[in-house]
Amino acid sequence: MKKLETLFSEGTHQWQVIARDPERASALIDTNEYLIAHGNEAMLTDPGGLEIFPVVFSALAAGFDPRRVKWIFASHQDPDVISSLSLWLEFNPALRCYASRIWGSFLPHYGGDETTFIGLPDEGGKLPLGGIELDVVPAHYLHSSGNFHLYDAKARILFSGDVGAALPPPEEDELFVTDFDRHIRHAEGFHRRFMGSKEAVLDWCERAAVMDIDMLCPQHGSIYQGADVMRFINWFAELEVGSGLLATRPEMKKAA
Amino acid sequence: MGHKNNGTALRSADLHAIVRIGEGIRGVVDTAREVNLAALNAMLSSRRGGDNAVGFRVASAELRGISTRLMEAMQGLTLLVSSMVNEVAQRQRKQRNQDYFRRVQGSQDRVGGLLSEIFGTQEEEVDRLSMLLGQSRRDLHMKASRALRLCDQGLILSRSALIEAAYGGESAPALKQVAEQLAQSIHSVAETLGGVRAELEEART
Repeated sequence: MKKLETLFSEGTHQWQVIARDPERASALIDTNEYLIAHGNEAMLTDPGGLEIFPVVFSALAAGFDPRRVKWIFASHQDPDVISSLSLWLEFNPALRCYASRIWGSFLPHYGGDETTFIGLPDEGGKLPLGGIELDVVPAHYLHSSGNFHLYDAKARILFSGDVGAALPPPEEDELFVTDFDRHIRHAEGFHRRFMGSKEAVLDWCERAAVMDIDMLCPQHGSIYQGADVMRFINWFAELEVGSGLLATRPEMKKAA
Repeated sequence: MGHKNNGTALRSADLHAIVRIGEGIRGVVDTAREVNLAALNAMLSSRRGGDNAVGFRVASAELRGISTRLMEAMQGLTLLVSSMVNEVAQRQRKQRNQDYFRRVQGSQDRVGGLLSEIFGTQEEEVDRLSMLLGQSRRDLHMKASRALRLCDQGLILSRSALIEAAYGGESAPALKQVAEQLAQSIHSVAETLGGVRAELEEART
């Protein structure tokens, strides 16, 4: 059963994470859903796939009134990110979903209609939430071609979608990274394979490096905090990505 | 998990039944087209039999008309089948959503109140779609029965054609062969339509 845990709380401003489901079907990748609340409004980031909706909803409702969730933020279009959309809309048809504008006619395959989606421009922007604003950070091609992260300057938290994601074995699957070197081994293969463009990696790293970040919160795996955030940015900037090409271009393998 | 799989299997059984009905209808259209051509061929062959083959010509022309009406009837059935596929798919989606929300309620009693309105709406929607599907099945059954009555007429006519072929003078063996082919095709159409109707009756029980 997933649990709702608080990451940041200051007055009515809160970040909570719905994470770790030891009972999930082994075929499903584990995901982290983040709830950002301010005033009377809340936003859920990457609410997850259809199959995990019952556990996400149960965990959320155990500690928060789900009727306060007015917004969904989809970092990109993958099924583990947003295929539960039709169920969230069944609970609250007035929910609006932010996602890259390029997915405007793709995401309705999961549910919703032209009133559901708010297309985000490539350059990002600001999202209002209960009286404050969150920054939409472009992260295109990391890994999706229309990809955004979400930065909260007040909480100094960056929701980083698949960037920073790791697939650790169950015995090392902690909520927070405690040993960066041990943890990053479980992130390496994923980033090499899923991130397709070195240019996009460096673009993101430059942007993230100047942000004031206490926590870097990926959609899969453990949360980076404190000095581990910059460690991750430096590690990512050095990483060779696009490993899928090695299968068809052996000369790259030799060079690597 | 077992319960979930059972539900999925039951729901996909509906869709499989409709797919089988759709295939039956396509089979009928193909055979009716063959009947149409065979009847045209029979009409042309009967010319060679001269006045002796007038009766055969009349029976063949009637059979041609019946095959045309059968093809028209199948068009109506095809439309009905596509709307049934749509209704079954919608109901499946609603029932699947119901399953997900039931799993929420199962693990968190205190959210039951929050979801009771959704359960009510979902139940109403599934009932409405089930009623629509039931109505479509009844319409399909009625149309299949009508088409079967056309086949009965076709079988009578094909027997008449067989009798009339005997009076075809020198062309009698050729006319007999055509008449037998017509009878066989109409019989095959009737058998397929009987199968479609039986499938619908089974789905109703």
